[in-house]
Formats: sequence, C-alpha cells, structure tokens
Amino acid sequence: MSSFLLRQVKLTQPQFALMLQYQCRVEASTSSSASIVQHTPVVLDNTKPPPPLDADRMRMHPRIGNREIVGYGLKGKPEYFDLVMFPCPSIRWEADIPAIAELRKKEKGDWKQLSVEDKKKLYRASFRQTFEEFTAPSGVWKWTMGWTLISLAGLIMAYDAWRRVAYNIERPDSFSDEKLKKQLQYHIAARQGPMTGLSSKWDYETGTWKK
Amino acid sequence: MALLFRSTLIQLLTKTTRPMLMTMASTGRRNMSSHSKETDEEFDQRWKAYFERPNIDGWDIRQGINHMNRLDLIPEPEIISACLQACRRVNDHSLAVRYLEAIRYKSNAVSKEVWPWILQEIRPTLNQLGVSAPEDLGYDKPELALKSVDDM
Repeated sequence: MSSFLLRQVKLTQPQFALMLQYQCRVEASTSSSASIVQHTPVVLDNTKPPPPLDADRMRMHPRIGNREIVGYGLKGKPEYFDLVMFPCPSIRWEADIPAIAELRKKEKGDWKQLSVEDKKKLYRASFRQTFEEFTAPSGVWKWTMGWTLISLAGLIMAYDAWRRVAYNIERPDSFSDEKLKKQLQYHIAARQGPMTGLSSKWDYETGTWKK
Repeated sequence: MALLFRSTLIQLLTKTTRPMLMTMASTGRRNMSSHSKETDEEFDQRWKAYFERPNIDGWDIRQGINHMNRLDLIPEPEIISACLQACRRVNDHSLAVRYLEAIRYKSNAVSKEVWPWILQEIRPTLNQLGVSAPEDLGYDKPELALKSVDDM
C-alpha cells in the first residue's frame, strides 16, 4: 500500500504485517511448476525420506520457501537483506530451480568457462540487488522539497483566507475620491517634493499642472 | 589499526588455528585501546590463516566477510586473495563478486584511488581463479531499478 501522501512511512500495524508475511510466503516459492533442487545435499524427492528438520527449517522454510540457508546473516535469522554493513545475507535470494542447479554444477568447474551472462545469473540468484543499486540515490529529496513548499504556500493562503473571512476587512473612508483629492491639494500646498517630485510638476502661478 | 573487542577476539580464536596470537611478541607498536596489543602483521596473519583453512565452508566465509566489513579498515590484498581462494574452494563465484563489491564501496568512501590499486594488487589472483571484478560484470553502475525495500 504505497500512499501518495505518506511516502516514507512504513505501515507496521499487525494486520499489515500479516498481509506482508503472506505475500512473502507466496513470493518465496518462486518456481511454481518446475521441480525444486537444493544445492545442499538435501534434495526434495518424495521417494526418499524427508530431510531432517531442525528448528530453523521448521520455522523459516514456510516463510522463505526452498531457498538455501547459507550463513549467519544479521541476527542469526534466515532472512534476506541488502545492507552495506553486512554484504552477505543469510539466505540466497532465489530458490534452486533446475536452471540454476545446472549453473551451480558448472560453477564447480573452472570459473573461466563461465560466461559473463552465467556469472550475472548466478549473482542474481544469490543476491537481489548489487551494491550500486541499493546505494543509488533515491531522489526523495525532490518529493520532500516539493511538498514542503506546497504546504507552506497552502498554509499562507489559508491564513489569508481566514483573515479576510474573520476580520471582514473594510477600507477606511480616506480611500474615497473626494478625500484623495483633498489629500493631493494638501500635498501641493505643503510643497511636497519640490525639486523632482509632486510639487515640481505644479505650476503655482497659474494654479494648474505644468505643461 | 585494528580495534578488536574481547568478545570477537575470543570468537575468532575458537575458529582459527591456535598458534597465531599466543607466542608472538608485539614489536614496537602501541595501540590506543587497552584491549588488544596486536600489530598489523599479526592481524593480517590471523585473518589470512582464517581464510586459508582447507575445509572452510560458506558459512564461515560469510561470517568472516561480515565481521571484517564491520571493522574500521580495508583488508590487505593478501587477505582478499585468501578469501577469494576460499570462495573457490566452496564453489561460490557470486560470493566473491559480492565481497569485491563491498570492498569497492568501502574504498570509494575513502578515496577514488584506493580501489584501482587494490584491483591491481589482486589481479593475479583474479586471473588465476577466473573471478570477475564488479566492473567486468557491469556492476559498477546500477543495472536493475528495483523498488527499494523501504518503499514496500
């Protein structure tokens, strides 16, 4: 649920957490129709006895699917993460489908035989994003600046509207035409701006504006 | 150079071969912290021995990589080579690339000249094992534009 207004806020209520967990489970079994092959000696073959269940597998494999647990990770939990501080997560990113299993076999041989595409596929099977990708700038600052300025403008406009409504601003009567004319006569009589301003344009002998 | 706390020191002692730390007399260098009195060479030797164990497995390599990444240093090229050899032993090429990417990121935070030097120093190992540097795979620029985890 990515909302337009609350872009950076993660929703962590229990219902949403459950929704996300369910989505994790659905997405974790990435190969729907192909048969799954494990990289470790555990091969999921239902003619053989089931693999020995340890506590991690019992708890985590419903969540992570058939992905291989390869390390300690962050806190010992078999979860995937892309972090700069901890380059190696505890599980691979993708489950071992037969295409990847073949590549793994090839990987056991000479690495010079692997082509660049093979190496890239292997990398993407173990990791979701490269370092460059998850450290790339996100550009959120533009969104932040935009909304800051918009909300600032909105607040100022709202304040102005409230002032007009609440204080019902009227103009004083000195803005009427006769009063303004009177004011101009007073200014000219008092010689305001005699050199370059108002009164310099008034001809005092004839009593009119200068031509 | 290495500020190691006691708990991680003990952790590593139980994993590495013993004779490293006990009998070496520290020559000359004094550390700021009172915890470890270890020289740079001892540190390098210890980590090299850790990665050069013949029966190391993927779990320990990842543990070592994660731990060393947390320390306030960039590993020496010999340690990097030892780790790449260990990756070769467990047949995991992507792990080697990931490790190189981590070092590249860290060294770029220091200066633009560190990473080319490191690459040049470990180029013999890369050629010998057939490991691709991140640049060879095109991973020095972002390739996919996936949604960030924080936006989901």
